Amino acid sequence: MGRNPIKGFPKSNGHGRRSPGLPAVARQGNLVVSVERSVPRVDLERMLVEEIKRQKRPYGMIFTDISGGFTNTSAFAPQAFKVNPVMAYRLFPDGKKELVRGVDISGTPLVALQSIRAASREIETFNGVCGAESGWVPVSASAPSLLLEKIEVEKGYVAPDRPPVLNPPSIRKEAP
Amino acid sequence: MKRALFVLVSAVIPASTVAQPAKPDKPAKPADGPVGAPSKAVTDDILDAIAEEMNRAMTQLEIPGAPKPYHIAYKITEVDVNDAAASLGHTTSKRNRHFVNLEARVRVGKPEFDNGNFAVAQAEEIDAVAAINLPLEATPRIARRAAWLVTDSAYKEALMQLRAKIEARRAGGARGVDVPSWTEEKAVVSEEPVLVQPLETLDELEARAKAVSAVFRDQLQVRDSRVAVTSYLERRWYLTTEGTSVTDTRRASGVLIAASGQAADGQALSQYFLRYGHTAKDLPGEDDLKGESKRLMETIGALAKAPVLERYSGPVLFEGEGAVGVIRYSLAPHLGGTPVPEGLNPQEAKTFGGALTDKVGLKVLATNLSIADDPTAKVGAGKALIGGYKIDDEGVAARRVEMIQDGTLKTLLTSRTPSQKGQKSNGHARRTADGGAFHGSATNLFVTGKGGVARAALVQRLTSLARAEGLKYGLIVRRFDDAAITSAPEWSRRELVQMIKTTDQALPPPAILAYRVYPNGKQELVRGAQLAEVPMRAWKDVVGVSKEITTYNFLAAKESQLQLRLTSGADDGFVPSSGIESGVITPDLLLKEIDIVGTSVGERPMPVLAKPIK
Repeated sequence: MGRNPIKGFPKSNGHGRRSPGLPAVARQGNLVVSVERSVPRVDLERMLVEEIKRQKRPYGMIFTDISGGFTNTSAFAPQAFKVNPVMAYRLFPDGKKELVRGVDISGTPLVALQSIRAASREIETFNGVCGAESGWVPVSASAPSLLLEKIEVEKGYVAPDRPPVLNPPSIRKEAP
Repeated sequence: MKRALFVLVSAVIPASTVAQPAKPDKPAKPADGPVGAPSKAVTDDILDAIAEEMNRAMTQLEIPGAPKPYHIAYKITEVDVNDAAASLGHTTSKRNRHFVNLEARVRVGKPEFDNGNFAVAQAEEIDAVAAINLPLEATPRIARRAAWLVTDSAYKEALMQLRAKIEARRAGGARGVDVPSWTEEKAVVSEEPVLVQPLETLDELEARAKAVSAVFRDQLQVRDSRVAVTSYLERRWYLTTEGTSVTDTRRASGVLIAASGQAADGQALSQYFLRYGHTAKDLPGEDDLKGESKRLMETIGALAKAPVLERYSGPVLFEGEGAVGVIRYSLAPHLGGTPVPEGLNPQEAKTFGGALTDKVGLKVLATNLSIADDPTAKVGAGKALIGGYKIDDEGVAARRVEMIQDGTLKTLLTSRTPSQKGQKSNGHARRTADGGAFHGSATNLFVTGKGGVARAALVQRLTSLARAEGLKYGLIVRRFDDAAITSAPEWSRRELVQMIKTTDQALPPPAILAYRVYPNGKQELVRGAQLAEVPMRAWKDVVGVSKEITTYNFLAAKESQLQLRLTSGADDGFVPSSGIESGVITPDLLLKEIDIVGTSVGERPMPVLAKPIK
C-alpha cells in the first residue's frame, strides 16, 4: 500500500514508489516467497515426471530463465500475465530433456498460484527493474523453484526476419 | 577494394565579405595552438576491415530471385562532446558523450530506377539504412562484424522498399518515370586525417556556465533561466563502392543563454542568446556574456509590460537575427532541389518546401538580392562559420553554388536524387528525410543585397513606407523563437495537447522581439507577433537592405518546431550539438508586405505565490 487508501486498507505500509516526475503508486520492493514445506530441487524434476504420467501428458515443461514479463492490472482489460522464457525445456516421461524456443507463458494470477504443488529448498534471487504507472523502480524477487500442476503456454512472437544472408566474416589478423 | 593511396585535398574558398561585421560578435580567430591527435577509435585497420566487408557484400550479398546491391556506402561518425549547463550560479548538469557510429546504406535496382527516396506507408523506418555503434577501442574484428550486420539489414530493407515502390507506382502513384533515381558522380579520395583543436574541458565549460548564470539571481521578472556551454568535434569517414574514401572533421564550440518570464495576462515570454564558433576563442568572453544576460533580463521585464500586437499587414523590417530567422524559416526550406519522397501524403509533402522547384530561370526574389550557399567557407562577414564541410553525406565534394543572382533563380541545391533528367548533385546532401534519401539543403547561406544603406536609414524607409500605406506605424522584427532552445520541460500534458491542437506547423515560429516604429522614430516593444505564412511572392518585394551584415550559426534540427516543443527542446537543455551545422549571413531586409497577427497563445496561469527571493 501507498498513501492512496482503498476499502479495507486504510493505511500505507511504506510501499508508495515512483520514478522522478510521476505520482507514487503502491509497488513491489523486495518480494520474498517462503514456503513451509520444501524438497531438494532434483526431487522437483522427479515429481514433474510423475505428474506428467499421472496426467497422461506427452511431456511437461521446465523453465530455468526468463527475460521478463508483464501483467495487465487495469480494470477494463483481462488481468492476465505473460512471461517470456529464455531457457525452456520439454521434459518427457522417460526423463529426456529437450531445449525448445518460441514459447511464452501466460495465464491469470489466481489460477496460476493455486496450481502450485511443491517448492524447492533452494532459493534464487532476481534483481532488476519493474515498470508500471509510476515509472521504473528497482525491485527484487526471491523465490524457490516451483512445481505447478497446470500452466498455459502459447506461441511466442517471432520477428519476421531472416538470419544474415552471408556467413560471418572471418578475420585472419587479430587486433593488437 | 583497398582504399586509394593518393590524397585529394579540397580547396577552401573564402566567403565574400561585404561590410561591417555586426556587433558585438568577435571576428573569427585563425586556429592557433596545438591541434589534437587523430582518432584512436577509427584507425586505418578499422577502415580496411569495413572496406573488406563492403567488397564481400558487393560480390556475394544476394537473396536468390531478388536484385543484388548495386551501391553500398558507409558513414562512420565519431562524436566527442563536452556539455555543461548551470542555473543561478550552480551546475545543473554536465556530461561527456563519446561514441562511434557506423551507418550503412544500400541501393538495389539500378540508377535509372532503384529503391531510393520512397517512404513505405506505415513503415517509414524501412529506408535501406542501418546503423550500429562501434567500440571506442579500435577493434577490426568487431568493426567488420558490425559492417556485416548493418549491410545485411540495410540490404533487406532496400529490397522491401523497392518492392513497395514498384507496387505504389503500379497502383497509380507514379511520378514522371523519365527521371533517374540516382546520379552518377566521380569518386573522391581524401584520406589524410583532418586534425582540429582539442575540446575545451568540462571544468572550463562548467566554470563559464556557473559564472554567467549567476547574473540571473534575484531577478523578479525572470521565471526560469539557464546557461549552457558546449565543445564538440565530429569526425566522419565515408566509404563507397564507387571508390570514394574521404575523411573530414568538424569542430565547434557554443554558448547558450535562455531565460523566460511571464506577462500579466499569463503569456509565456522567452528570450535567448546563442552563439557558435570554431572554438571558444570565437565566442564572447565572460563579461560580454554577462552583459547579454542582463540584456535578456531587461527585455523580459519590458516584454512583460508590453502590449500585444494587433493584426498588422504592411512593411516589416527584419533586422539582425530577425533577418536570419525569416530567411531560415521562410526561404531556405524552398532552396532544395531534391524531389519530395514518393509515398508521402500531401500534408507531409508540404513540409518539404519546393515552392521554387519549377522556377529555375525565373525571377523569384527582388532584383537587388542574390543568394549563394558555400559549404567551403569557414568565415562569413568576418565571423566564424560552423556549417562547412569538405564532402557531403553522399560522397560528393562540396562547392559554392550561386543559386539566385539579382533575383533570378539559377539553380537549386541538389543531392544525388535528381528532380529531372540530366541533373547532377552539387554537393549539398546533408538533410535526410523519410524514405532514406538525402535532400539538397543550405548550410552556409550567403544573402547579398545591392544598394545597402545604414540601418538607421532603413528604419526611416520603413516608416515612410508605412505612412504611404496609411499605417500608423511600421514593424521591426529582431528575433524569432527557436523551440530547440526555449522549450520548457514544465509544460503539463494538458498544455501540450492544447499546443498540438492550436499550432499551425506551416507558420514560422513566433517573433519574440518585435517593435512598432512610429513616424517620429519612437520604437515600442510589442509581444505576441506571429507571422502568417510568408508567400514566395513576398520576396520579390524586398525594398531595402542594410549595409550591416549579420552572421548567425545554428544547428538545423530534423524535427519540426512543434515536435521540439513537445519533446522539451534539443539535446536535454544543453547547447544543441546534434543537427546540421548551418549558418545564414545576411543584411537586414525590408519586405514591403507581410501579414502578422497578434496572439497571446502561450497563456498559462500565473504562479499563486510571489517568487521566493529576498
